[in-house]
Amino acid sequence: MKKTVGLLYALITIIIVLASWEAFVRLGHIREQILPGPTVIARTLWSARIPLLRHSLVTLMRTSIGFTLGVVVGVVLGVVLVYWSWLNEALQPLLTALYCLPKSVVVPIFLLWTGLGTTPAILTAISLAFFPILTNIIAGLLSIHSDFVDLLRLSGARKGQILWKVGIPNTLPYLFAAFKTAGPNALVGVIVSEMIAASNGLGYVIVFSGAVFNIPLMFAGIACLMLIGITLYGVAAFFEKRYAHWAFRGARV
Amino acid sequence: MVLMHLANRLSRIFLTLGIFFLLGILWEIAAKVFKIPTPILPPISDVLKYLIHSYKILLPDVFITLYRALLGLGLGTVFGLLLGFALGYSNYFYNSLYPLLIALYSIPKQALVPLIVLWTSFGTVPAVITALLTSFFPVVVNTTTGIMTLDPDLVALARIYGATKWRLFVKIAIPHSMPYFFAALKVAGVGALVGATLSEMIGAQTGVGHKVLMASVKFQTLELFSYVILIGLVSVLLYWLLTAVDRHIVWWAYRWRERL
Repeated sequence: MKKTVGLLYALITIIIVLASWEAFVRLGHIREQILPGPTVIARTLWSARIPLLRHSLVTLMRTSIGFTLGVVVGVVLGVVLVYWSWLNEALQPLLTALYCLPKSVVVPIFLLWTGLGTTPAILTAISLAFFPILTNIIAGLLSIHSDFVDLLRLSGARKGQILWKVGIPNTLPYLFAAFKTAGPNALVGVIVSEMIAASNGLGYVIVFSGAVFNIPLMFAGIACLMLIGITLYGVAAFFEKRYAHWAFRGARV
Repeated sequence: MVLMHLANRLSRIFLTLGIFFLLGILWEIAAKVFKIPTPILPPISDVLKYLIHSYKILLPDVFITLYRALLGLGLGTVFGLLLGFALGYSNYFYNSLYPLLIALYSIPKQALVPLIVLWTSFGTVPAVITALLTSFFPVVVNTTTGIMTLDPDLVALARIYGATKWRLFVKIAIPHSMPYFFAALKVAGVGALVGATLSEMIGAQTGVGHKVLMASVKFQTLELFSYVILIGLVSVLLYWLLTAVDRHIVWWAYRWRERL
């Protein structure tokens, strides 16, 4: 019941926003080259559906590869850093520096080293996606209840066994929460890289249509991107709700 | 006790310096031993030499980028915090605006840069707006989440004592959301720099973003790596600053760490 009400609210808001946007464009006689209305964008989406689909698939492919590799890198590095905590101490400043470095300025380096296209996009996606995974894996592994660890140790478990039997399950909610950031982050990485260093993909479509003043096409590209972004977020949120629902206790002021 | 603390700190600083030194040596060896041509990877010694030699040419663009990013970050934070409070306070706002916000949140704001450039102008204005957009969303979402994850028992207790909705909000909800807000601020700081530099790559003639891209296209790797190092330093300093602010204002949120 509560869910349907929420959905209804969301739907009404979106309809109101779209309607007032259309009205604003029509009544204000705003040119398509400045701000196209939703109907114009919808028409462009339909008429350019085949190239848009192709570019979307390219972007989606790069994002999923970058995301997957980012998760692998983040999880492996996280487990390693927790297992050998001196390594964590030693690498912490370096990791902070890497985290802080704006990834957009790294794209030109990737461009220089690997050329245009998929490789710099995937590298940028990995560099953005693995940080939330890494920090959450570490937080998850460190937040293990010490009584559990003591109990297992008393029963004669080895360090690796404790990590596997208690650490990993305890980390899952953190991991799923991190997916919610890492997925969109991977998409951002891909788009940024495509805007600067690619000749296909949605990032390229958006920059290119801006350069030739085809604003409806640009909006259509952004709409495709939004769809991909919402889908990624939705999938991650679904998994999070399933595995970490206890974190949202639903208190309201 | 104090002495031990100091020794601990000093050893950490040395460790940090050591790691970076080691990395520099590895870079130097990689570039020299494998004879990687300078247009691909110049030895770090050459980069540092260039950096020291021509910092007067490099620094102005770094400051321009920093100015744009900070202005965007400030505006984005203020707007984000206000909207976050509104969403947390009112069910009506939350129900109607939050889905829209999540929808907007999931578009990479970076994709809007060409549009912002077309709508406004070249240079500072689109860079500030992009930085504002990239820093705004994490702040709103985290502030709202902070209020949404309030402990129900705490709210119930305050209600029993006769707290009004407004007092509940000011005394419990806002303080509870602060650690979330400051966590978001750190993300937003980095995001603002990404937004500003990206906007400069697409629509500006000044700033680190523009210079880096130009240097890459012209294979001027000394300049490229110098700018990357400088902007990296700037972002680390910004992050440290925000972390320090976080620790000072919401120190109570870190109490549990002492037990680890």
